[in-house]
Amino acid sequence: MKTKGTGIDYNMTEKKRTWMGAGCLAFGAVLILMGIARTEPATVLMKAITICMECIGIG
Amino acid sequence: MDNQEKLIRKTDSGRGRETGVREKAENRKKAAGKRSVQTLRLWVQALWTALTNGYAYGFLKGRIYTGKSKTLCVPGLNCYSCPGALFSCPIGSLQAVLDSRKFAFSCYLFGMLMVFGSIFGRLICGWLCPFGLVQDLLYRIPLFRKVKRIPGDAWLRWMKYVILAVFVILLPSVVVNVAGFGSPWFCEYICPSGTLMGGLPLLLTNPGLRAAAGVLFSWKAFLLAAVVLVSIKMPRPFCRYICPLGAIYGLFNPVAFYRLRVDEKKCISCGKCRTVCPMDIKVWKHPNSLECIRCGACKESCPTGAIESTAAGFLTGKHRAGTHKEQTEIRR
Repeated sequence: MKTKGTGIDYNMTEKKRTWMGAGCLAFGAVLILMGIARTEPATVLMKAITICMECIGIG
Repeated sequence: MDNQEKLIRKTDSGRGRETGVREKAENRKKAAGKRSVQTLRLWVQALWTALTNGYAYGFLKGRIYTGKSKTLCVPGLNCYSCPGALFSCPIGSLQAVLDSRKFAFSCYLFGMLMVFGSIFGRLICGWLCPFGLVQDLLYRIPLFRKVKRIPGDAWLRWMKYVILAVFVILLPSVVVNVAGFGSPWFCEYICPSGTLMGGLPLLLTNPGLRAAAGVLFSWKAFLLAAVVLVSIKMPRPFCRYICPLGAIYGLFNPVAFYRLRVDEKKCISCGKCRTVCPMDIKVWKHPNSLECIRCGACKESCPTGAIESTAAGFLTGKHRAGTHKEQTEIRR
């Protein structure tokens, strides 16, 4: 990984980048399915449908 | 001076004028092209913000939307306590899952962030984030002398990773009350987007909430005011130094399906891309920098058309090959 200044990039060929991206996408999809199986969306929904006092700065 | 010489001079000056006019027209065309992409981006940002925050009734009554669509997250930073929000905020939801007693790790949210990141990378920051839109609009205000970087810029850019690790992941998971519940530390103490999109509209329309606002709200309002002021002076300060969502998507930039590529044969290292880049990136060296928000300004301004966008390695859009004349002129 190049870490000079503000431009940080990985040293990879285009093909490797594409494969890495595809791998991340597939792994992400698997994680979503696992999350659904663990009923995580219900926790998200429960939090999201009530006014989040912390988020709006009331605490 | 004989007539023939006069005629040659006249023709030459005529040609010169003609070339000048043509160059001016080309420059105008280029500038218009640049404006069109940035205008299109602004429209996409505004439209996306309006679509994902379209619950107008909430703004009128000081309530929030309670439909099932809130199980899903939008890719950008969009407070789910915004009265208009139809979906959830990924960072708020991540903390909500981590600070609940049930889960120590969120497969659902990390999965969603990986999917968004591996397809778009930080294109989301540039095109689909409501708080990014706010900062872009603020930077257009012709106040203060504009700057691209502040002292310690390179170090400050790492701060968003610290915020992600400490305030979004570590503290909500570790610091819990007697009942085993934690707090969304980033939302509670830092997030100015929540104050702007959730706090202010709700407090303006809901007298009960207004009465409950205290020291914490004052702190968050102060942070929001600071971000607003700095955003007028420099482009995207929140995205550069604070945003944990940008930190996550940035890690995917080099491998995301949407990427940039610099054709080394065409690139003349003139540095014009860095001049127009809101994130001050040396695009010719690091086209897939972790900081790049994919606004497209570099691609539009490149005089030789060396910067190309690719989708999974395949070229997308129009790619203009710089003419030999253009390249020679710029080298001079």
